[in-house]
Amino acid sequence: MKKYVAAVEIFLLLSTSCSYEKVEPRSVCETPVVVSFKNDIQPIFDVHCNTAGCHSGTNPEGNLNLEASQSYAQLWRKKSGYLDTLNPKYSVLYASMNSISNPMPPTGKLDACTLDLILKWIEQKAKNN
Amino acid sequence: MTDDHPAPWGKVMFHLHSYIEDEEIDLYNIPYTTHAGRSISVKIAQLYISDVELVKLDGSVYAIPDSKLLKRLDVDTYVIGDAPVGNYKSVRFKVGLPPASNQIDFSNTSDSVMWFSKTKADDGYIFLNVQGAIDTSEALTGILTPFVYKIGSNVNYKQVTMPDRGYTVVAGDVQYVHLIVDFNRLFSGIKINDNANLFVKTVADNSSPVALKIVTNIPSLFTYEQ
Repeated sequence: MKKYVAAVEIFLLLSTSCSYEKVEPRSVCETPVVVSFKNDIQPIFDVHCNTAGCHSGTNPEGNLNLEASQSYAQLWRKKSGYLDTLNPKYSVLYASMNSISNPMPPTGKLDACTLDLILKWIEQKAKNN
Repeated sequence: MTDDHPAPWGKVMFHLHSYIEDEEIDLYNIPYTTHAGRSISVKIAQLYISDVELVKLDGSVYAIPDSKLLKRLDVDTYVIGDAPVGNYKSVRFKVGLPPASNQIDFSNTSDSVMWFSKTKADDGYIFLNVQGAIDTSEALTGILTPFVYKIGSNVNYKQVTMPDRGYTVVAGDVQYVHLIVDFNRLFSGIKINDNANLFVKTVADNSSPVALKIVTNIPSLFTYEQ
């Protein structure tokens, strides 16, 4: 009996150790049900975008000021294309941050959860909430 | 990206800003002032871009089929088309319309401001239509004189090759090419205090020395947004 149990254990060990199931990385982002511009999006700009010499001041990069007092209106500026709620991935804001070759911020692409948050906010019609 | 092209394709879009030197043109008929102190206002600033090609790292080229856009002041973003995923080093395109498209029936388009003639299709399209007013005085008095630059005809279909800058097209994602179009550069090398140099209105005018100079200036209008 002991030999039988040992054989079964060895078989199970080999069968599990020699095969694998390819598991795609799963997003573990805990994005809020409703994304808030004030509480979720603007803080991203404050950390990564509106620092001195970038998207701030009277002559901001790309003529886009992302300081809290101006960012929402600037992003919705007519014609700019920064936000496209019909085709959220077309939004210049998201596409620029999601770019591999020319990401915003230029120091490097932000983490996937932050980008998910931006995209979700746009998908939720980019409200000033 | 599209139903026609599932992965491994991504979408290429243009983000085109209209500028007078360092100032973005947000409104028509508002004077913008250059560093040199010259004021310019525009009442129209439009151009066709077509034949967009992505240059691969090895120098080979992917031509985006049927790529064409009419850059208008009131729209900055344009879908160019789908491209295979991969790394590209540059982009090039032409300002204007290819000869085959330049002889089409005008009823296919609604933008009559880009026609040389409302009655003769054989005059073709205006490739670049920039009109406004500019301070032509050496003393920079701020007094503006009207100008009209309507550039077209097949011989003026102008190639623009952008400097190298890496682009990575990712499956299912959008890659923007961010460009500035500085209309102030149209005037480079033109004696604007000669009133005859302020008007290019007809197909016949397009063979004039000033028209040829404007066409020569066209590639310099485009720079990458930093």
